Amino acid sequence: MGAEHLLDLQDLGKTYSTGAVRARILEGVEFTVDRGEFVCVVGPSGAGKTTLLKCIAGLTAPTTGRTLFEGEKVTEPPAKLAVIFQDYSRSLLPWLTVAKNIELPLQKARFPARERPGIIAEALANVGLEGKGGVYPWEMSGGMQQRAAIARGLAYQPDVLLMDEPFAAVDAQTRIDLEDLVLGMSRRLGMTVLFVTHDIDEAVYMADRVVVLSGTPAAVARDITVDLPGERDQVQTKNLPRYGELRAEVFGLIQAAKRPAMQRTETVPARRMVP
Amino acid sequence: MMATTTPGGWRLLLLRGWLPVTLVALWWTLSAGSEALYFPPLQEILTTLVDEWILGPRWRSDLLPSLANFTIGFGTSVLLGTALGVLLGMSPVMRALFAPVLTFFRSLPSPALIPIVLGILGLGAGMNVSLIVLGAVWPILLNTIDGVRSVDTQLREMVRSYRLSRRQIITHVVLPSAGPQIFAGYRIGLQIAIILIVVSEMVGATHGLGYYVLESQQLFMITQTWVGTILLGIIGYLLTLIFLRIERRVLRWQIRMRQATGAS
Amino acid sequence: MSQVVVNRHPRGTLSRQAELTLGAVGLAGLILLWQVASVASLLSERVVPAPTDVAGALGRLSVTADFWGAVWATVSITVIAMVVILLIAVPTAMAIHASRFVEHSTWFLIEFLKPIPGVALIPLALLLWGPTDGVKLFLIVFGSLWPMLTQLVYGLREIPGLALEMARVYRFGFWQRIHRITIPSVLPFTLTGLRISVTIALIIAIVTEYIVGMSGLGSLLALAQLNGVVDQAFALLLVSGLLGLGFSGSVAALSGPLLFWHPSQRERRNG
Ligand SMILES: Nc1ncnc2c1ncn2[C@@H]1O[C@H](COP(=O)(O)OP(=O)(O)O)[C@@H](O)[C@H]1O
Ligand SMILES: [Mg+2]
Repeated sequence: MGAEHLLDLQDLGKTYSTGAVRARILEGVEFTVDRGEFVCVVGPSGAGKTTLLKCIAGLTAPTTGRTLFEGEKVTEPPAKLAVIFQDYSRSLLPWLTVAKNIELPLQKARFPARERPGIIAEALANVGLEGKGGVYPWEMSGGMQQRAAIARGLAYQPDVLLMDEPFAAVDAQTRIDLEDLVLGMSRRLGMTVLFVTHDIDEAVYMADRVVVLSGTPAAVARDITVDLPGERDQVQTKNLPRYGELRAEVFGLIQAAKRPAMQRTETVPARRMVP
Repeated sequence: MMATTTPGGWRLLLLRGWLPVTLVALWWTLSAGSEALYFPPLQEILTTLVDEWILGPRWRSDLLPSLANFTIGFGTSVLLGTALGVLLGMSPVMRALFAPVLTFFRSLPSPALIPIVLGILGLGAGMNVSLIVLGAVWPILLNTIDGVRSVDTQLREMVRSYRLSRRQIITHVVLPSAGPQIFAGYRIGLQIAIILIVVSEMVGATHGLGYYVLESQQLFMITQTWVGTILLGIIGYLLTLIFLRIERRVLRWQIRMRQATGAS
Repeated sequence: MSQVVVNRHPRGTLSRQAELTLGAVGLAGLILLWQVASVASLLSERVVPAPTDVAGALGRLSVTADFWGAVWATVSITVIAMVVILLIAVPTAMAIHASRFVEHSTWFLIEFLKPIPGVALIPLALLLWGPTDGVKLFLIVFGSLWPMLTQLVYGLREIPGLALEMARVYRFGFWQRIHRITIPSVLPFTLTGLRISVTIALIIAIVTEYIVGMSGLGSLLALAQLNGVVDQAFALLLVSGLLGLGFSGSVAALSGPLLFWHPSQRERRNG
């Protein structure tokens, strides 16, 4: 048990084929997530982050390699894993109240009916939505809807929470609030979170480790341990010189991958001289 | 959205009511004492309607059986169409397998089935109900399939990642999500079912409203023909009204959502 | 606003090729099953003839002038009815949209007339005017006008407010507004209306022909029933279905080029 990682990605690759067209999206992606860690996967839009997350969650089968979750190969979504999707308006059911939305995945075996109201109330409290159980999702703001979706994930009591750009669709101020909410929550509950984003600041600010995804097909460019103080603060943390360095490092890696041709001319200029 | 100001209460009633009331009043006065063979006085038509259909025995012998056949036929279409629609909507292979047959029957003008259904079942309730089902089930089935198929992708992934059971998926996700489109199918099915109960009684029954109105015409009973036609109109209207009430109740979350968000 | 990409059913889709193959297999299987059941006398010949008999009857029908005359009668009256319906529905819908007074005044009348089954009027119309083509046209138009009218009114109401504001900002002229905004946004609704209306029109046409005995597919059906020629009734059923397919296919074919910008069509092309 001891040496085992919670999540272990081994040589993960994914190729989409539509008709005759084959698109290689991921190749040889390898990294691990340990219990209690907050890991951010960062990469530019279209890099294949959502694809990667779906492979990890068992929503799509990888073309090569595998994901081990608690030592077992993932083929279908495991019971102790929850996903928070980018577009809350499409993952909450508009015909159910928030409480019913949260209750829906709570199966009888793990969550006896009489315990559920308590679990739901606690999850709502954890995301700052006390007393909002009777409200329909569309009666709330975007940020509140995403918090409701997170509450559903929490109530499900997973061992790992996968989040796919969960704050991409909310305004900047709400986004900052939600970052601190998720961060505080994961610290308080000792949750394991795998957080996917294209936002470098968000990744460095929130993570214990940042996995930079780049290239086509995408692979892990670097796995960076974020050696910032554990307690994060939107102003103080972001003013630390170390924060700037980390940010620059991630930015450089992503830029380099975006312009492979330029990089080649930078690193090996001699080649061009002698055709 | 444009601001639509709807006047309230008695003003709306007046606005909506003046034209129909005027028309009926005109009809009443112009036809009063009418000697024209084909245009009996409205008063006479209404008296006959009340005498035969409300005070007389016809509501039991003709109206109730018609309504019963209609209810059974339309109800069967709804249950069958929805159940099969969910089944086919969730299974691409089955759907592809039956696609040509479904497409054919959806486009088929159902009265073309009359000679065959009559040949198999003869006159009577069985024939009437069957014809309704054979006509009304297709729009319901195909709309349900479409509705089930267009359940949002991210919703499907949410459902899988939370490992919802098949029953939960159907009752809490697929049916509500496809609900508006399923009801659109019911609405077309209802329209066809109302046409077909009339048609099937005209050609394949020995009582019922449809039979009555055609029989009156063939026997040259002019007032009765008017009565039957008006009654069919009223009943078609009432059935649709009831249906729309039910629809609004079932889909009320959607109506409230629209009001709250202004989205369509 | 969040961008909602309506990404429909990529999971659980088959390739076009696989769909067509399966469809052909399904159809062939059904016909084969039917044939086998007929040959094995599981189906009484007097009630359900074998597919081969139906094909034979269709062959015999297709060389008679009566048959083609009947098909023409049904098709032409349906097409004419659609034109008349458009001529009535477009100005009516515009009047209803333009004036709240007209909208409210006609509300009850339309809501009452809409659900009246067009076929219910057959006896009365026959009584008043006799079995003429004009009566047939009237019955079809009366019975199938409403879906078109409803859709048009609905479509006019749903013209995006933003587009209208844009038109005002850029000072669009009247025709420019009609041409660039009104028509494109109402078109999808018109086609939906047309699809439902044509279905109902065909039903009423055939019923009228069947009951009154006027030239058309309906009267051929009545004749086949009267003479007890079941294979012919089945052949006519097939023809009616193909006719219906032809009409709905035509509306679909119109939708392609007319609605190339509409999500439903884009999806069709991509999917
Ligand atoms: N189901 C699919 N079939 C084919 N291509 C896909 C599919 N899903 C995603 N892609 C393609 O894979 C690439 C990566 O997509 P995605 O994983 O969504 O990237 P990200 O989440 O990093 O923005 C994109 O180019 C996208 O077009
Ligand atoms: Mg993504």
